[in-house]
Amino acid sequence: MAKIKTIKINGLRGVREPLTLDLDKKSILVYGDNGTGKSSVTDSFEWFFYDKIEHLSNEEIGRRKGRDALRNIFIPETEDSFIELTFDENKLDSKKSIDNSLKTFNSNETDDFKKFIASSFSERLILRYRDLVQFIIAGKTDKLKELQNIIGFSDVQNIRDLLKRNGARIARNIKSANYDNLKNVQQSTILENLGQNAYTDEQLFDGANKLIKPLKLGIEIKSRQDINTVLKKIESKEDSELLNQINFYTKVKESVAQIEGNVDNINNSYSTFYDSFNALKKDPEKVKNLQLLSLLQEGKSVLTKDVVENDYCPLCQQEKSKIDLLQDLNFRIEELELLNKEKEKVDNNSKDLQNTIKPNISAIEGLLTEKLFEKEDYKKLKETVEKIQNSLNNHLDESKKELTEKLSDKEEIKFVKKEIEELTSELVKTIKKLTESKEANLKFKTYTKLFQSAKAYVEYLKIEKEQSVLANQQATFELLYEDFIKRQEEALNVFLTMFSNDINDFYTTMNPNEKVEDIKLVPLKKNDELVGITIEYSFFNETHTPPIAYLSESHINCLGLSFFLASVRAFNKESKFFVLDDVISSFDRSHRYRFAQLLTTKFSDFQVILLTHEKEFFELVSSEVKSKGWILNNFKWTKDNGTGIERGIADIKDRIKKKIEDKNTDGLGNDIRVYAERVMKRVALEIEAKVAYRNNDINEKRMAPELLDAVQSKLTKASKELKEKADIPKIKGMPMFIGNTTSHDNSFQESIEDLEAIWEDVKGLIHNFYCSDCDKFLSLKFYDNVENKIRCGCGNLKFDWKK
Amino acid sequence: MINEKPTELKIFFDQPKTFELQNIKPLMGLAGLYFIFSEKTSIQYPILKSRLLYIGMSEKKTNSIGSRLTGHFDGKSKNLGLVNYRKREQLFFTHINFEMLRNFWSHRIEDLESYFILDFVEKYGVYPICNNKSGYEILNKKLKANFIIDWQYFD
Repeated sequence: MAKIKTIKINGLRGVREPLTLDLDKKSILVYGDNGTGKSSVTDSFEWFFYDKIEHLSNEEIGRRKGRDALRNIFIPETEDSFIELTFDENKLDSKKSIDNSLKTFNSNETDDFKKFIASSFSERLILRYRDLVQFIIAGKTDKLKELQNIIGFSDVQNIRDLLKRNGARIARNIKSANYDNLKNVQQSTILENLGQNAYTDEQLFDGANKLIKPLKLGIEIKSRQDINTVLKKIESKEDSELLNQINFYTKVKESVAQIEGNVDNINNSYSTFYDSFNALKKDPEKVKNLQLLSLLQEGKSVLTKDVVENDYCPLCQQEKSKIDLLQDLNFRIEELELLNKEKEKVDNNSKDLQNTIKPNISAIEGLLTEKLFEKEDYKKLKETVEKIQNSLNNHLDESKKELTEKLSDKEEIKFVKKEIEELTSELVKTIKKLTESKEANLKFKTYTKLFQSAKAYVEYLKIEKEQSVLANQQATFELLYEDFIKRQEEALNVFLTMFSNDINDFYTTMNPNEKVEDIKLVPLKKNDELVGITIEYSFFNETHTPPIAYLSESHINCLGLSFFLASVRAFNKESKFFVLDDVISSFDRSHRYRFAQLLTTKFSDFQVILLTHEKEFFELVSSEVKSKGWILNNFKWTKDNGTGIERGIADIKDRIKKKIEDKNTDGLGNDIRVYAERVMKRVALEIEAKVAYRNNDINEKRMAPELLDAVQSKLTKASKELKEKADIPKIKGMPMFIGNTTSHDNSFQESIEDLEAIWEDVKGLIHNFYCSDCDKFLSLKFYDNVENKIRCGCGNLKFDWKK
Repeated sequence: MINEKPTELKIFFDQPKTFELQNIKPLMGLAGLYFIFSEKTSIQYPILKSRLLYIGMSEKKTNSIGSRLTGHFDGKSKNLGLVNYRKREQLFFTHINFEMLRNFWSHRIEDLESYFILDFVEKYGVYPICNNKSGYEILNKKLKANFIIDWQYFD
């Protein structure tokens, strides 16, 4: 599993100048005030792995998965913005860049890297404060979706839904095609012509042979080819017009008979649609609420994507906790989704009705293109058929009506079966009459009957085959679906148990001795189908669900964090790291400390990138995490460079050495000043040299002259020996230590030789207060009460000291 | 009625289906007759042997062949004979959609069922074994029709 060695960011979000974090596979705690660009790191990180920045991917902030807002606005057009990550496994190192035209490039195009990035999609790499409680306050369906997303069950769920949808679609097709009706129309034709029905070739041939027997053709029909041979043999050109008429009427009869067999279905489908439509329409509130649903869903999206950052409602501008707002929205959406289901039911009923009618409409449309309908003799029949067509079209129009419209009454639109039956009966009579109009012409009569029955039989087989293919498909989908449900449930239950144990463990570690225990994720089922997941827990030995009703915000956050950490444990298979961006904002003091302990004890095998804007938290847990080998860092933001790191003393010292070595005077004077300030601040702290108190963070910003004065003043009172040795006035007279805050930004124009000399003096000063043997400063903590001396940790450095 | 004089019509049965829900489901919404028979057991009826156990009927689409067969399948129809036969061996069924005979039968479906049952009685000597009739009823096949039913299908 991969850990990060370095993160280098340039020109992304708030980072203008290159920002490098040398992690060397270690965890890091970063403090940075609001606006110092911690989130720029998280955003860049998110972009590197997921190729998008979720909270920037909306219309208001940016488009194209947040890329519009990705580049730092001050970065020159010619320069690429980038994030470069190196890992303990070099093969994964990559630099992802974005140029001015927002084209992106990845320096690593190996399969290993692509696989690594692909796997990160199912891992949990980033948690931001705004996402912390999403899962906890989400509705049961969203919880299921979310969990399925991260455990890779979404694909399973998608396949399951696909199976269900396909099974249902095929079932609807089978139902609306009314295959049995179609087959029986053909069997009826065979029965009429052969005096028997026929489901097999054998039965057809048997009937056909009986039919042709009186003609004494000397042919025995044993195949369908034989039927054609016989038909050819007895065909008469003279009777072709009559034959056309018979075929025409047969076609009309078959289409009308199909409708006749479908009339009950059409009427029933309309009735079902009508009832569900009017039931929904009866309550105007429901219709209004349905229109509200999309607004609420959009509101939820706006809040979850952090378009609104503070605790207020974006619509009414009133102050309101974002968590409360989201909770409220989730609740209302879930409520309205039931209503939406009712609407879906109406829509499905409408579709069913359309599916039932459409095959008949197509059949009639095809029929009306028959040439004979153009003749005056068939005008009446044409009108009758068109009347049926109109009636079918009326049903179709009704099925497409909006809820705001009124449906035609059932009785008003109802198909009268009797009328259709009479028409079929009339057509059968006509066909019979035409067939028998040449009673004496046995050949013609036989030809017609054999032709019609053979045609009907082929048609029957075609329909049978189509039905059987669809029925097999439907059965397969249903079997697969059932099996899926079973396996999905089994796997999910195993996972949920394991996952719940972790959540419970992490939560109780952060909240020991509290009465919330046995936290579980519990699947919810409806009609044997998994419809959601809820969180259950025991509170004073009583089972409760969901958690939001009883837990404080801090506890809900703890639960959210536990959920995320349990996800990290369960799903991070390739990446042994994760980013926590300002997740402890609403935690109280005890939770904060335990949270840090949780990370250092239970996630010591992971590399954690923990970003916070809370100074208090940073200070509270600094020693805890530092003792476990974490790196500590401060972020600052400047107008010129954007986000940067407030460098540690060792860093600055190395830089000074390098600049002197390179004879590079650029900024060297400033570096020496900053270094001296940092060290003197520490010296003042250790010898308890007093400076005037200032409010908040300004108290931290002490300039060198002030610190040097304070130390000098303390030495005057406490140690003549050290005062003489340190010779602070000599240092204080140096150019970089003269002036005030404003002069800090001035650059020094001294020669390298001058600066070398100054550096030597500063080092000399510091050596009076710092012991390189024990790596400790002179400190009153090590005061020797017997000898009355102040000393370092090992005692190699000591001076007289009057307390 | 189309056929004033009953013409002789030979009625064949559709392909047999195993008696299971998957095959029953597509018959929801159909009205007509259905026939349940055993795979191996031939019943010794007074005149001839047959594997036919039951002739049933659905008179309307709301109580369709599909729902009637489902009732027999899960035992809700309380036809103990069918339930017990199903326990012992694989059963089959076939059906006749009333739509096919609509132009040849102007009476009710109930009458068509009677016609078939009485024709069976005529050929085999008694009602099918699971039709729960004693067999003492007077044969009465007065309705006009000349169906030649392919009872051999069940031999």
